[in-house]
Amino acid sequence: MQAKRSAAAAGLIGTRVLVAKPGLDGHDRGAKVIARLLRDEGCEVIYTGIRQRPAMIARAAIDENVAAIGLSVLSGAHLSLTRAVMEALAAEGGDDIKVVVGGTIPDADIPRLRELGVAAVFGVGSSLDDISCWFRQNFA
Amino acid sequence: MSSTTRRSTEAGKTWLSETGFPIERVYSGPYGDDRLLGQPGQFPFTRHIYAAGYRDRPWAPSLYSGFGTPEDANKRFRYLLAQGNGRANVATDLPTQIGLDSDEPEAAGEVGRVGVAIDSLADFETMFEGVPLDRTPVSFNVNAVAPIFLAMLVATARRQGVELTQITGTMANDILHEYVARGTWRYPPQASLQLMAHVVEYATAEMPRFYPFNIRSILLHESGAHPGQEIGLTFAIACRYIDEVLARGLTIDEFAPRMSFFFGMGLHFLEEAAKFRAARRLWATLIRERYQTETPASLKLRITSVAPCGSHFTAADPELNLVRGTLGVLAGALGGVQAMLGTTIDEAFEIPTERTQELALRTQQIVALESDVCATVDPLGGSYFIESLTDAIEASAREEMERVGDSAGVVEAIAAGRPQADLAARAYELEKALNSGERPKVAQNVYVPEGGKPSLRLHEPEPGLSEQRAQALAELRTRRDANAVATSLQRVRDDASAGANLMPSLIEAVEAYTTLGELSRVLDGVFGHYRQPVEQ
Repeated sequence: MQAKRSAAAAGLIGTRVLVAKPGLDGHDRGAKVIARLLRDEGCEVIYTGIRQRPAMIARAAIDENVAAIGLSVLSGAHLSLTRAVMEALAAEGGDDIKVVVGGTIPDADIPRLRELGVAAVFGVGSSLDDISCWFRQNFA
Repeated sequence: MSSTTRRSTEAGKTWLSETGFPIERVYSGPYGDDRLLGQPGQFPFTRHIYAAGYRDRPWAPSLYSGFGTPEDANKRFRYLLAQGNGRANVATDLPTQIGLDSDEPEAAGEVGRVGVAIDSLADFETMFEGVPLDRTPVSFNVNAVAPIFLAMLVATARRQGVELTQITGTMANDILHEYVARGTWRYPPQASLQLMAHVVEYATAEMPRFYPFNIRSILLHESGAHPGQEIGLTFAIACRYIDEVLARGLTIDEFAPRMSFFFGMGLHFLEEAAKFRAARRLWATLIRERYQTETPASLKLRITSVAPCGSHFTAADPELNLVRGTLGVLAGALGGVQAMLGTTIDEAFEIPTERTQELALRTQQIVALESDVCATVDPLGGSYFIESLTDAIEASAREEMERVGDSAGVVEAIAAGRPQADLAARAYELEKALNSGERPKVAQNVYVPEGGKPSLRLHEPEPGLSEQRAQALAELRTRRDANAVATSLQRVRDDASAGANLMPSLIEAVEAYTTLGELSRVLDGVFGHYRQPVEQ
């Protein structure tokens, strides 16, 4: 198990990820857990802190040259905030950055987020393995 | 059938409590000192703060609700009160909690989502229409805007013809926890502590039945704290509040009897019951030792709890959360709390519907009325295991209190991010234990159902709410007396600059229908804005 994990970690070493909390929601337990998980997987993680505007998130992602953005929203505002981030990314030429969304997401909103161009959605109950697996498949 | 040797499920497993204490196979006496236990209603209140416990004062179900417009919230409050909810426990949306009007750009997408949108006194009047403030306790989970909310409550009571002395309920007024978790801060800590003290001073003088504090260790539990961490950091914060208020000239017995606390809890209901017992004993001991008072009302820890915290509810097979809710109610009841919120089965997806709130309320009513949990005070008292856990949690809480710098050092510890880092580290460990299956979660990592899960009917947010609220604000601004608004805002600015208690000028200002956002921006000009330190 240990060997498997470090082998996998080698695959993600140097992958740059921005973990961000858009909007006004301050529930940051999940975002911090994901930041730690991805660091353990070898990623270089930048965590923005709470209350970030979508345009600032897009700007930071481009400036930091990240491969992926993890958005965490638990306030129910995930659709409008994600749309704003996607639009800002497109406007700034960051459409190659993969965006994943986590938080309290009703099932019915998953296809809506996918339509906005979100690469993956991890709602409540997603396991750490599911998430690291997805990152390995996409970036390792 | 061939006989096989039964495999022990005990061997090789480490039995640990939530706090991390090793759990013995069986506990035997003696368990310590009877004097530490005392009798219900007597120092150190380990067993209960009232002699007759729930026989005389059952806990109050206090479901937390609010969404959309003040009309929506009013309808839900009245429905829940009619079903036996003990108070109107107001959930406000995020813009409201941080002092933004519904039409400010930062509020986009968040208006009316996690709670009701409040912009002015007009919204308070609507929200409490048909909710008489002399008979209905009201609670507000607001912190950065607590003084403005208290002003709106006072003004609404006046309009209802209710004396301020008759108002009951709670104001969270607990800003330091917001810098640790949840994050609805606005001003820097020192200014926020002043505003906290204004609320306490005013309520102490004018509203003797109101609790101007509902200090929320629940935020720590939800961020990953174990019981000792939850109590320790919260009591350090609470003692800091006491020290700030004492410095303004109040005496401990004037306001300590009006402090209340809001604890989190998990599903380990025996340990959680012990946690409440340990917290009561530690609080009584601390207040007596530190502030030299023997007044029983000052020494009693009044507990609101949630049953249980939302982070323990699953998205997988969500109807099972009803059972988790029952364990939560048992923890609160066995721990002797005074009020309980209820988490609803749809917690992992959305804010609750009327139906899911009704289920959470009925869970409390069934435990209270159809079981024997209220028949005797502190039914677990004297259990070797419970008393051992109570002692151990109390000791752990004392250690944590010291670790975070106690009342003198806690603001600095929070500013440096030290408790936040402790909690984030534990949250990650808990998540890894869920991932490995070391912490079982039925339907999520063990007994995972095949195929689709039953779906719930979820709350559906009203479309166009932001526009509707912006329109209402625009109308309010044309309707109100612009001179009265300008004059009252100036008075708030002057009082804030002079360091005077802001409550009188805030009440005058809200009565002139100045908005929450306007008042908050005036205070920004005096106090500045908090900037969250960049975390690594």
